[in-house]
Amino acid sequence: MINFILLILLVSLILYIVLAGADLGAGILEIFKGRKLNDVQEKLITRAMGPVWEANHIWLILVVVILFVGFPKVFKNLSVVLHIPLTAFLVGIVFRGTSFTFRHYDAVKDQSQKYYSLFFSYSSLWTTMWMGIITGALILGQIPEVSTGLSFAELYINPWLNYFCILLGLFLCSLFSLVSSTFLLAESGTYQTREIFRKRAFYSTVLSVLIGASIFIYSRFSEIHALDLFFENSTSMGFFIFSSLLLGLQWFVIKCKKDKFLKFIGATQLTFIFLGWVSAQYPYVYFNKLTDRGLNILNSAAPDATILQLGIALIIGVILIFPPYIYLMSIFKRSSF
Amino acid sequence: MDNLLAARSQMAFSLIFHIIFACVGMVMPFFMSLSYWKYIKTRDMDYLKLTKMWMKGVAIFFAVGAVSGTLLSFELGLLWPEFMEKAGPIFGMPFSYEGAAFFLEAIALGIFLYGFDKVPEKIHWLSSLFVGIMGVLSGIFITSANSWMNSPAGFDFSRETGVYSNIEPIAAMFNDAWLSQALHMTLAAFCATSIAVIGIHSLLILKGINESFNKKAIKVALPFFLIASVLQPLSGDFSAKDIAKRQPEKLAALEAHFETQEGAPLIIGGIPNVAEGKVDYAIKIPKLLSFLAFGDFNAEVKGLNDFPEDERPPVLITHFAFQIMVGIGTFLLLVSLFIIMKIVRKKEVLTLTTLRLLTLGTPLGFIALEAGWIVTEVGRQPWIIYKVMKTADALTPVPGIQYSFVMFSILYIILSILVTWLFYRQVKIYQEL
Repeated sequence: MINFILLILLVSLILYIVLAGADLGAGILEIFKGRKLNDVQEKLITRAMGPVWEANHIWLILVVVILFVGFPKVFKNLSVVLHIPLTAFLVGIVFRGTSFTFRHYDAVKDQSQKYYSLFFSYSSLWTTMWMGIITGALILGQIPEVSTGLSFAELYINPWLNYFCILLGLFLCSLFSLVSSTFLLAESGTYQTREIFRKRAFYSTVLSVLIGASIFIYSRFSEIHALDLFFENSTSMGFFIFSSLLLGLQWFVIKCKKDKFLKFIGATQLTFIFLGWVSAQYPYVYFNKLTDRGLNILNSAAPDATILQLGIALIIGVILIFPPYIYLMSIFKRSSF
Repeated sequence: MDNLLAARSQMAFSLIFHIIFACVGMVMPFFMSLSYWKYIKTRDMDYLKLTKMWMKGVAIFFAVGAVSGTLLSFELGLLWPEFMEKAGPIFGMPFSYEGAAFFLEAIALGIFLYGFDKVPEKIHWLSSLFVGIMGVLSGIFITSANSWMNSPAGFDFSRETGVYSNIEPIAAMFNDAWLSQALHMTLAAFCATSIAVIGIHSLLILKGINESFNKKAIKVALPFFLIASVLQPLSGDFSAKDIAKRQPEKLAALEAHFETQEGAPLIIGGIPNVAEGKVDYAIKIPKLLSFLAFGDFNAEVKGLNDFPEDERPPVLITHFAFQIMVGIGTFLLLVSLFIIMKIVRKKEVLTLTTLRLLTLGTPLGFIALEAGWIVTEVGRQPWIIYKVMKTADALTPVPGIQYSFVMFSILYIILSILVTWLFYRQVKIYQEL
């Protein structure tokens, strides 16, 4: 049962990263929308995201619930050591969720729309940045035990405030922009908007490659061993190689304007990067190579009775949720705009 | 302000904020659905307009509820990690089911919001009803999780080793308090939301705006209000009797009942004087508390003084909050009875007096609801899990929660102002159409 729960956890995370990633990326892209076709872009984003963003969001809640019911120690540890970045991330979620809704539903369309858009786009950047920083802290794994009498900075700041984590934040921003531009490129109906998002996709690909490379170079030169885990693990390497190949393929598809495959490639590519990370670290939520210590999710599981009940709840949930979820998606995502 | 008080305040603020949106998300879909049904039956365009107006309201409230709910799910860990580590596996089950119900609610809402002219009308209508049903289920699951904190069940706890064993999540979910709390909360949500909606439309009629349209709105929401506000005192009595048995110190605190006595009086109003153990300026009705709590005029009701000093809940807040809740509940019951009497006698219901009374009621339901939650939560202190874990022991080791409290408070205040403003614009524009 525990494997089933871990599988659902993984699937939820992937869905959250891909769907909310496209959603967050759309917000980031809005910052760089320029003056051309301003409204058209905004409308496209709203129409593409409107019906589904709340449903996208819930994958995150599912992750949180699975963690605190099934793996309470993981939930507790992360909540304590990553208190500050998690709080910052949440503030971003609140701002972007509300500003998106306000923009969409405000009965009067006036000047205030400008401020909603401003908040929506910058809080998308902010949220993604913090998500990347949190991910960076988990990859880096320099998370101390709380009870070791360290200072405030050593416990609650150093694990995430460093160049590595910030680079990861930027990397995630560029990846989300990329996946979002591929989604929007596939969804947009007019030649003009397609060309705009083609350009966006192009720039975010370049950016992703550059930032990805600099993370690698930085890790080599500053003797951070976090990435060693990735290279020592063949599954993980496999995923990374595939995702790089996909990036190339994606580039080709964008160039050749075979736009309908793009969504699939964009999503798969992001998923592979994520799976590469997971397979390098599993079963550790974070692992520090230097001290050989980390947080093993398998050792943090709740008692069997809870795991069994959680599994049953998830099975019921999956059976009940998937048909209507697919129905919702099919109604609104079938037609392109 | 120390870390504990800051964390408690932040949690309180978050819940006070979230619960309004959660309740609106639970109840409004039923109004929306009924109004849509009336439109399908009569093809009266007013009902369609009403449906769409409420639908936009629901969408805003639902989205704000969803983000503040996400925030809360994280806050449980950010503020109370020790509690979540121990309690998560025991009382977490309703959260999983709530997650599923909420997910279905969001999907149904998505279908309803964007489905006009895209899905068959019957399915479209069903989706609106589904939103409400799933919303109510979510509310019941969450209340069940809370009730476990008042009435912990489904595990063995050893005070010596601090180990929680023999965990049975289903037994925890259906603990002794879940039914009384879920019932009281569901009725409260219906009562508060319906009187708020009715009140706003009454105000619009009083201002002479769109009388026939607003009367239709009131007609849709009124049955919900009448039923909920009449049933609520009964459910309150059920809850009180339950608390008298399970959490006698909470009963003593909310009543500000200091000395153990047989035939205890019901204390109405007054200012509790904790130092001297008495209540100044209160109205006392002899023997009534004993009767209400145990169904026997001469039953013994244990007073606060008989509980260990470090296990007594704060009296002042609990007592005031309880008085406010019961006072408003009684007022709303009287308003309901007044209206029911008119309906029975086949008289004009929405007269000037009724409209004024209803307008006056607009915020009262939610004030009572918040007061009720203050009674439940503050009345459980100093425990986070009744008689098992103290709130202070659940607190995060991260220092400086004060800053986080201030930041979130500002965030919630800004959001409240914005939502109110948006809501005002919404109402205004629909009245002008």
